[in-house]
Amino acid sequence: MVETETQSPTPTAAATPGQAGPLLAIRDLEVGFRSGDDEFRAVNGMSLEVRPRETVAVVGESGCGKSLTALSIMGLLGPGTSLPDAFVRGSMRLATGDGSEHELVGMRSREYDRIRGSVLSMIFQEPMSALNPLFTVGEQVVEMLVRHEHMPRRQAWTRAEVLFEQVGIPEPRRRLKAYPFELSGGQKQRVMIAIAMSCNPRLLIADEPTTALDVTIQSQILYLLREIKESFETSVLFITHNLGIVAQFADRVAVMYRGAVVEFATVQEVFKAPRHPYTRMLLDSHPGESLRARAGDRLQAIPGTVPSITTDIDGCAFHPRCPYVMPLCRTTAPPERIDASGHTARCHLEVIPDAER
Amino acid sequence: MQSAEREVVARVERLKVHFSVDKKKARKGQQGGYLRAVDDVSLDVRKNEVLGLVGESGSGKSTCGRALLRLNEVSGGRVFFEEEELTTKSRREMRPLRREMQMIFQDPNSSLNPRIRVGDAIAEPLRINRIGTAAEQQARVEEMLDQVQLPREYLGRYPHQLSGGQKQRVSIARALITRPRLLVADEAVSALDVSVQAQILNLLSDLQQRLGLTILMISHDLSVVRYFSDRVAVMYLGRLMEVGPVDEVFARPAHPYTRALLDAIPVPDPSRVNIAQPIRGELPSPTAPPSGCVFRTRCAAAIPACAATVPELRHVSPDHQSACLLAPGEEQAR
Repeated sequence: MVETETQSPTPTAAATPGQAGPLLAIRDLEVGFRSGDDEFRAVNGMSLEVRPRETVAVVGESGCGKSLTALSIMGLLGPGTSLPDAFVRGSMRLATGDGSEHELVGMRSREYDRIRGSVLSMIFQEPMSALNPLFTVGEQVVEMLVRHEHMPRRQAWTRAEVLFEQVGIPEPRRRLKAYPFELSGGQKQRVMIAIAMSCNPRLLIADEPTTALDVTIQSQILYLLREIKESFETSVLFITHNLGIVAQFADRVAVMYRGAVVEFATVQEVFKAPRHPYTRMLLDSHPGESLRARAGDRLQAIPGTVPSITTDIDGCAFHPRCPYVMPLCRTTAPPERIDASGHTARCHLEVIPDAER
Repeated sequence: MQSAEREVVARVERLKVHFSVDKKKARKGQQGGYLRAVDDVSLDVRKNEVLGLVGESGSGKSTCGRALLRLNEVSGGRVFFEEEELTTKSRREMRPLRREMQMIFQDPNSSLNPRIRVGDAIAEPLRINRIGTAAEQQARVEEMLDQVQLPREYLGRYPHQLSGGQKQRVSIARALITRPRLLVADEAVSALDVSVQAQILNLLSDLQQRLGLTILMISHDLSVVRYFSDRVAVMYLGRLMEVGPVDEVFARPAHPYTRALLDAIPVPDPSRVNIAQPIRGELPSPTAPPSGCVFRTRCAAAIPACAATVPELRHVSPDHQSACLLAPGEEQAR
């Protein structure tokens, strides 16, 4: 299990010489909402980095803060957005490619407008709600090109057609004139990808982009994203609850629980030798290929549910559900431990004891 | 139909459920007049088994499950429940049978009334069917609560005070309180997080074995179906493509659609990354299904004959049938 540890954990990142630094480095991110005098933190000390051309998956169950993290990277939280009561603290440093680095936390909205779409872009779970129903999909791609690339409209239409072809939309010229409602879910997600890639972003944030799709269409979209990521040399931050997609698609994976990353390593490491009990239980709760209910096989369920963000938990946030809980876990939040390969875990245990299953 | 060694609890024979979507075209018998949600499906659910019914959206799997309980009007074919034909029964005649067949749904938020307390929700089927005295009903409700592993103090709670998994436990308790002989679970764990999904699957599995339940499990999640079912039926665009024992179908899928579906599951194992070109195309409109085999427009192995003939189910092994003109293995040669 150690044979890969001497190499760089992410071959794609290593393949880009001279760009050793991360593209995006998130440190101690806190995202939450103010309600009167109270503050609720949904993301609580989250740290993560994405290297150039790397795919990092963020996995976790509902309410773990993965989507809020994505929205905060995109600058879609706080004053002037549709969620004005939200706050974002900590640090998110983005390298824009021209050698300069930008702090995203506290960035002015005018500056954000320049990088959103061009350096950062995002696709969502529900393409229907992300597309404007009143404009043809072609107009929506063209708008991006005109706005960010300052392209003349005629040229933008030609470029839009090329993009549609690249994302596998049949009869691209005709489809440019379609309204969102005329397209299937899979086609709409392809349009979203075309819009997201139109300005050659360095980081694509994909928030559950296939969750609303059928499994055969999901496999088409994942196949497309893999192609797109290669041809555009883009980094991808892939937010999902689907462990299969993580294993198939990501280079590294961050496992989130209650607003923080509890484990971060290459997918090979995490799936083969998880270091956090939550990660291991999450992996084991998936109905594996050889398990049969009829044969008496039982799935590893995680007892209880994720506690609401309005309840404070002392010590490790996972301790009320953890089968390996020790007195220390109830009082002290575990520090982030990192090994030589860069595998990090936030747990007081050095090694998870073997579960008696 | 195939002679099963085991007693059949419920059966559909050449079931058709067509919804009229365009009255004018429907009257003239033109294409586009009807949405053929279920077309010519024959299937049986055997005693004490879990039959998984899988397919993508629009495959007709939910409509098929609802038709089995006669929650849908049937356009053709026959539905049997323990040798009684349901298709000819009136609403009134159906009523005493209702308690024998229950259903749980995907979203407990919409299947539980927000203004009805847990205890009353679970007791409702008993009250409607006038089963037992009030005291007996109360005892039965408490027993069900134990069965689904919810503490007694939940009896007085409202659905909004429960988590998603707890709500689904209430739905299960309510469905099982009349001791049904058939339970249809329509995407019962699909809305749940994987750790909670595991809790509910474990619970359903315990109940299934302890109470000897017969379950039709409708799901789009093949991993869940593989884990939970004894047999699996695969539907596509209203038609049954393949049916057989779960181990056999997953290990040796006979129908090209089943194979495509299995290939599309993202395997949670980074050492088995699948970078193969996935199945092409999208689901055709169910108001204008392709002629012949409905899957032929997306099938890599399609031959001209597929457009002309609707393939009948053929045996590939004693209990395993597939509706493909090509013998299994034949299409792999392309």
